[in-house]
Amino acid sequence: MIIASRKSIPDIKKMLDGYNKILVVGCGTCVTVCYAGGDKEAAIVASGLRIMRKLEDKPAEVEFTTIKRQCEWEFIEELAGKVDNVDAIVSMACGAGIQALGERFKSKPVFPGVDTEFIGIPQEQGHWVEKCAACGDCILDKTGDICPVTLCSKSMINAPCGNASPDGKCELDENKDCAWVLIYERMKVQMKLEKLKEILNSKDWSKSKDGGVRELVREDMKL
Amino acid sequence: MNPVSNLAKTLTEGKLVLTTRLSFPPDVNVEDIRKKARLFKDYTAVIAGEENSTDLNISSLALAIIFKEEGIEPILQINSRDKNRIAIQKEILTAICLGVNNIFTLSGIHPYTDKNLGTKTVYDLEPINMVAVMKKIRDERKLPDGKDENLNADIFIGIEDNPLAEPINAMPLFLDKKIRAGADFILTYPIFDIQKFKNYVDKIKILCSLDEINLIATIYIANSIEDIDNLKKSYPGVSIPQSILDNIENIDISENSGIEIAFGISESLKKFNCVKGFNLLSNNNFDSMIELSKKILDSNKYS
Repeated sequence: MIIASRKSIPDIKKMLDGYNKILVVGCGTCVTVCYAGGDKEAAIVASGLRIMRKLEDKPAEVEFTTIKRQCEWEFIEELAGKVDNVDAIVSMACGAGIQALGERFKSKPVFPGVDTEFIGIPQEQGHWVEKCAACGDCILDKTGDICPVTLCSKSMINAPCGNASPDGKCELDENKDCAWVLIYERMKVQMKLEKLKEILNSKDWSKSKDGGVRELVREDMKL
Repeated sequence: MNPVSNLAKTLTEGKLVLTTRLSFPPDVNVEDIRKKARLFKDYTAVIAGEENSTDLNISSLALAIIFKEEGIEPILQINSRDKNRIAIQKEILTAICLGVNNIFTLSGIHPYTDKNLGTKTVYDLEPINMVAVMKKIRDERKLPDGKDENLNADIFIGIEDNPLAEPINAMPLFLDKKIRAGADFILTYPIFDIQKFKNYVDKIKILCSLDEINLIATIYIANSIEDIDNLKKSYPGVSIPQSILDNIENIDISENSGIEIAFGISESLKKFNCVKGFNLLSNNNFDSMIELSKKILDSNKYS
């Protein structure tokens, strides 16, 4: 899922100077699960903004609501009636959701309530780890289901850099595992070490962000 | 094919290779570069080093040209961290055009290891991919995109390797991969642990012939624990056994024990068929390096 972290209420408040009718919109999918922008966080932000504005003698009407997914038009449409009377929207969704609201409600400024961090999974309660760089050219079949593009800080796809600590941690951060130590251990368990002998060609980054704005067109799915 | 450099020729003839690595901060006086480089005039080649960490040095290619002007054969260093494949290919072709034919690649220390520069990292081609690019340029005389430039590209291709890194049991496999990708010579991290190195070589034997491997083993002269700390800044993954650390801690510098320890390591390493030479490093202790190289050459003469 997409992992995000909520911006601080003072930072969100700064964006809203001069706006007096505000709608905070939570998103019911990824950001709910990672406690960044679901209904609960939308309520906290709305309440915090109301209090801070009141303390400054600039009271604002701040409401909140949550839709299932801010990245899909059918759910965004549910907001149609609610945004008419506001002069600004705070989206608690990831960057995709924030921009989708902006595209649907062009006359209303939409402000980000979260910082979108990465595609990842929870390691334990309250701790999320990046797993996929969305490079568009998956090689997980060759590296024991562990992604060196994402989990090696240098994106080394053929061999380790040689700077892991004796306990197998990355040179960059003693709390992070060296991806190549993980890959080796996984391949060993699966008895597929031979597979690591293959020299992988240099990656084609055109399929990643480096190739410009990405789009996916599926003719078979078009109506 | 005639050897493209003195380094290539020395290795082909089976003679002992001696190299070192020099790098300089941006505020260095050019005369100082020339003076220091001349100390190593008798070495097979000298690595024109750039920063391994993020403390800026003058560029490897500029340094290589100064070495050449001093009659010293340079080894260009290209770091996968700072340049994308366009910049790397340009660097390779420019180096060859200027008569710098030894090129070795490494990944470099991650820019966020010691400070937050807010920079965008590159890591486009990793070192093994860079080796493959150089091999293509050299053997097929064309760029990787297939564009036939009829390139004149005599390159002696090198790559960095830490034989004693984690995952240590897989390192022989990765060395074999580097050689199959096209590396003509391998420049190792500083070696201190002979027993571990022996285990490593035993595993390599299963994968490839030791005689065909041109391993240049780095030997680091340490006269104090401070020297070791300094080494770790550039080589965080270096493996040093406690017994060596204890010896270094007890060194009386006036007795030059650092040189003796380093010489002992070189004597042990030269018994391995794959070790074709030594890359001598120190914490700016140039006199020690010269003395060590004399001892190594003397010992080589009589062995």
